[in-house]
Amino acid sequence: MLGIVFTSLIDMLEEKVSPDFADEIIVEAELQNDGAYTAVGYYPFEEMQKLVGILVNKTGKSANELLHDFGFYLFGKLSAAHGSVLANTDSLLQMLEHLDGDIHVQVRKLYPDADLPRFKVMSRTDNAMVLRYYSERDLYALAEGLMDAAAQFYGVTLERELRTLDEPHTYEFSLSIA
Amino acid sequence: MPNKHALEQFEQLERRVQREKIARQHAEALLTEKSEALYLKLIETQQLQKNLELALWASQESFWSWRADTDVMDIRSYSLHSESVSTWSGTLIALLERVHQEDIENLQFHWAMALHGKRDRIEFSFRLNIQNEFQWVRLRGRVLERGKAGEALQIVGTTKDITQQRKAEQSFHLMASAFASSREPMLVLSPDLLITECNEAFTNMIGAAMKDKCLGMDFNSLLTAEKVDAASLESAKQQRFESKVRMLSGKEKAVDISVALFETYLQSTSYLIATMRDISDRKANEAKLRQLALFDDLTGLSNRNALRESFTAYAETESPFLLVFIDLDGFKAINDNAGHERGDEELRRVGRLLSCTFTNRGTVGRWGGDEFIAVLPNIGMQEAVEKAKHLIELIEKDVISTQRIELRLSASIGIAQYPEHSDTIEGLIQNADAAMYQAKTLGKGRVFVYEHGLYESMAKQVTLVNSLKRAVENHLLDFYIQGKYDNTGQLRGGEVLCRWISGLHGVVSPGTFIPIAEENNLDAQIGLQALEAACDYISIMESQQGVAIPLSINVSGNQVLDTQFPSQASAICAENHVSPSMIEIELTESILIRDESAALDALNNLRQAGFRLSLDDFGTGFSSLSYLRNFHFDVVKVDRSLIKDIHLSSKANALFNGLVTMLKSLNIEVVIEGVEIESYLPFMQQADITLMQGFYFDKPMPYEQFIARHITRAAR
Repeated sequence: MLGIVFTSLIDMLEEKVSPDFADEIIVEAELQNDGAYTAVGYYPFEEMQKLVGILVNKTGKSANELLHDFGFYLFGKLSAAHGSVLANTDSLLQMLEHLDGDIHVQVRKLYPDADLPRFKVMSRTDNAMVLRYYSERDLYALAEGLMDAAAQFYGVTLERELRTLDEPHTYEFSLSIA
Repeated sequence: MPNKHALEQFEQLERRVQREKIARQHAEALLTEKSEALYLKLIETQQLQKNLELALWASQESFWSWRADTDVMDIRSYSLHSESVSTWSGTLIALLERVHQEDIENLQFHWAMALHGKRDRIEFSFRLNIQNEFQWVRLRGRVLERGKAGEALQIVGTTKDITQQRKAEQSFHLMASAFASSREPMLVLSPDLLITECNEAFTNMIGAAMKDKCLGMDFNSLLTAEKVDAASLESAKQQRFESKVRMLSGKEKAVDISVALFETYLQSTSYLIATMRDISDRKANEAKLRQLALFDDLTGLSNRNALRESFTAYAETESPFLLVFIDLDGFKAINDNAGHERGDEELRRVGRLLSCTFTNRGTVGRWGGDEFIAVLPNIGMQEAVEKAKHLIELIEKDVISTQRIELRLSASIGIAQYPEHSDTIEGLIQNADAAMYQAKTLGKGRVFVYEHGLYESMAKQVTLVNSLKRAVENHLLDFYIQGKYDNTGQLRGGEVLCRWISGLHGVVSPGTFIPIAEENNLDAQIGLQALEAACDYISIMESQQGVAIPLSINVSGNQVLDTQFPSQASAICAENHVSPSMIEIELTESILIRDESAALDALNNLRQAGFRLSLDDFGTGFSSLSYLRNFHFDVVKVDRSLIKDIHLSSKANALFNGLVTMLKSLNIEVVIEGVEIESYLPFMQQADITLMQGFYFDKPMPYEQFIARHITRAAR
């Protein structure tokens, strides 16, 4: 998993709770590199699972709730780091449509072998879209958080519905903009 | 407690700093690793590109690209060592300015098809001005990208200089059209002699309406005489022969055929090129010449050559035969009193009588002048004598009346038998001639059969002078020709030389009989006869070949000084319709020694009559240079003694060169005599000699032989 996800998570903990809390989580998780993440690094997904597991215990929130909140926060980080991607698009649905072609290309520049989730537009109208989502790690909640933050970025209200498909790790979002 | 809290605070900070440090180091390591990988990738990419460029270079192609947004066409070529070189870059309009006028329309058409049509592939050739020279360029390309309206946005491709290829194609087309339009029949044959290609001249020659009729035919099946020898072609590579080709109509045509073997580039296959020439005209000419060579013009009987051939043929089969020698009595009187034409008519009449008398018994012919010979294998002596006697009666029957007198022709006949009287042809003729002399001696109008010992006693009685007198009076001398050649071997002229083959004395050399002729005043007649022969030869050449070569004759000092000679000579030329400028009179310096002023007058007269004058044997005798000063000779013939061993002696060479230089500076044409061996030729070339005569080129030979030889030469 890309380093920026880890650094963003730690940033969020430090920012939203406190540096002490962030440190506490890192120490408790007994991470391989003791939490010395760099945004351009690439780290095992298990570490993220460890961190989220400890957060679930500490906060009493569900993992999906935590991931949604994190996704929402992550969008801000990503848009700051890769603003050019957003600059070329002028609507939420358009941005989502080009997710695979644009944003993931940036990841592949450094990590040609990275495991990235895949998006596929199944149908699209001016205000609605059916987006199929495939994630080995089943991080659909994270994706929802990202989408919600993006909706906020474009100043629109997004209605979304999640459907789990029979194929493993595959989900379908029915999105519409009010 | 506060201390403990402070300590924890400190430890936490320490951990966070440590995390940041490690993260930074990790990021740095990552950066190094990634930039290394990136660099290697770049090198690899560059190498790949270089490989592509080298591939283009190796195939001698240039890369070009065009973009609609800039309308710029960029042509790049590559080299083995340096970076890519942009050979040309500019708009399409700028490119068109350098395209050959004739190719612009084609280029625009193809470009428009790619640009607006649906055609993605583009390929055409045009001439492009490169450094003020048009080179053929082949352009290939593909449309890479099209806009919404289907218009091409980007086109890329390669170009190649195909000038050499074009030249080769053009030269191929040129060769092909030369082959097709050649007036000489030409064919391409497979190694097993099947016709794979032929031109129109060939189909015309064999009378085929279509080329297809000929293709696939066996070439040898068309030849009815000699055929192509495929086996010997393998080693000799070429062949030339005369043969006959059967036309589709079934008729045959004489042809000269050249066949050459060619191997293709990789020698995997070979083919033959055959060219043919219609030589039927030449063959007809040769036949005509053969006719001329073997038959007497006047009487239509066999001539001396043909008679000799038949003697030889009979002698070879070793069958006995009789040789009947007939000499007319009183013929000179008819010629002198009734005229040459009447004389000729009598000769023709005798010829007819002779033919009738000996029909189916052998060959009859005119030996020369008023002498005839019959060669009779199928007859007994008794019968021959009777027939001969009867012949004399028939000859005597005709009475030729002139205004003043009546003339009667008769004949004396001598007969000799082969092999009883002589087993050589010369001997037999001498015997028959001696017998004829005996008949004359006994009172003319008689037949005499040779008896042993007659020739020997006759030879004593009949002197060379008498024989020569008879030969001159009866026109029995022969006039041979020896050619004069330029330094390319081309025939430019000839010298008429007198030869005497006497019945009684055999071959008598000019060195022997010319002094006798001069002592006995026979030289003037010989000179006139030589001139007649020269005129005769020239007019035959003109009528048969359209052109003639100038001929020279030898004239004795006495004759030149004879005041009658210029008018006599002019008359002979006029009679034969030959321009005197075609006749060169060769004389020796002896006349100038005798009476220089008279000689100069005589020479001036001949000059005025239009004859060319030549000083013969220059370099022997006195060779007084004052002659050259006092009189203008058109030609000087340098004596053979001056060029002898010229290739061995530098002294001889120096003398020769000095002499030639002197003569040339006097504006005199130089003829070198006695060019006998090839080694002399470089010295002749060096001295810029334009006319040569000698055994290297040819020996003096009878006119018929001479002409036959040169007709064949000219035709080749």
